[in-house]
Amino acid sequence: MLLRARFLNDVQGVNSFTPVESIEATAGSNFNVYFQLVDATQLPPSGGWVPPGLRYCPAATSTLVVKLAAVDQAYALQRFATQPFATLDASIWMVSFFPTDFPNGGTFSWSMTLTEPGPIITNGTSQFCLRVWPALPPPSW
Amino acid sequence: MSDINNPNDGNPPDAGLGPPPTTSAGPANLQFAKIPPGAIYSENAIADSRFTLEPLLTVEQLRTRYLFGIPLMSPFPDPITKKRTVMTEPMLKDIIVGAVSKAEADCKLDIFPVYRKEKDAFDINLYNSLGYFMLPHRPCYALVKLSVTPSNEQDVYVVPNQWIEGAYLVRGQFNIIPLTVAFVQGTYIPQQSSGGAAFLQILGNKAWIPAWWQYEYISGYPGGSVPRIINDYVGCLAALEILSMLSALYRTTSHSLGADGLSQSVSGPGPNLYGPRLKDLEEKRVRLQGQIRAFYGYKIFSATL
Repeated sequence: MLLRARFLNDVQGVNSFTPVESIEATAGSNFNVYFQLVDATQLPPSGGWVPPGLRYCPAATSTLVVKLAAVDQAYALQRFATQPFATLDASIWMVSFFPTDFPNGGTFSWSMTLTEPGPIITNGTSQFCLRVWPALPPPSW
Repeated sequence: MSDINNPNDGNPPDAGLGPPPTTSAGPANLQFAKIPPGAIYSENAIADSRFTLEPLLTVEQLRTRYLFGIPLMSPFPDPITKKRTVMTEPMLKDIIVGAVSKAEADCKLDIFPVYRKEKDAFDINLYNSLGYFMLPHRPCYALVKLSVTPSNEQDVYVVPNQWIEGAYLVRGQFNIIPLTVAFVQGTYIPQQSSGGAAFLQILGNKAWIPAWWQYEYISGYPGGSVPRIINDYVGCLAALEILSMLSALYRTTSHSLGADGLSQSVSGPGPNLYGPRLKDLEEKRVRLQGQIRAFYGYKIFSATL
């Protein structure tokens, strides 16, 4: 399995959302990032699948940790994701971000660690998945 | 006075400014790092009335800024699916990611932050020029640590950050200017009459020592907020790649149909369909590359008077 995240906008429920390539927000805001776990080895883009990848529902009691790729502690962030529709669709997860998380904006990639009972640990990555527009002009630190 | 036999010497706790940064593989703590006087972009700005930074180019921005009006699909159907192959958002994003790497290589700069540990030679001429250093990767937004670290990888001496001049860090330059007091292990190092200067006197016997200095620094734009000009460059590269792929799909330059006495022929540019647009983008890319490289000090002009 090649674990990836398919990001979702306008999430009203398990039957109403829009897949997007990245989430955009403005610095200093509260926002939730919804995403669906997918196995990128199935339904590949070369077969014409849009969006590619088959959703992946982990076993019950699984945990998912999201970690932003950062080289300086001001941007380092690690957070547990939750399942907003755990009983209806276990593939959809959510991470909440707060005004203090991205004071200056930026472009962020993240890594995910999915721990299923066993434990079975699966890692995944998402490149440039979070784009946060600055709320104040520079200097930005 | 510093003692080069004591590996802890020169590693404060720093009474005035707290402990020095330590070497680590994880994210750097910039609390005590030397940073430029202002922003990375606009260079050294301490206030700005406009938003000069933005996140990396999105797929939507790529379409609207560089590919306006161009249908991102194959001109003929896929023989297996019987549908025209569409350039999807994941494909476009993948091209943007690739363009970022190419832009970094073209412009010799780091766009996204990279924490580096590098070594540099001791050169008596540069050292006598108030410790002139030029970092190989730019723009630098934090110099975390400068030390003398020989081949056993043990720090012999850590230069106090108060002696490091970071006015030109954005362009990769910094100096050691030990003209002010520094705190080392809770006590003052008064000025160049003692402390580091005394320690560094031993270097007067050697003109050049390879891999003598070690510095840790972060290059790139903080958080991956980039100037518009960088996004323009990435967009140009991505658009060139996309148009090149699309052009190759227009294989025929003309076709004709004839039946009895009637005939019709159509001719077109074929693979040169996007030729003018590719040419424009390439010219723009070269111009932007020159501007970006000049901005970060990679262009050297010389003239004879």
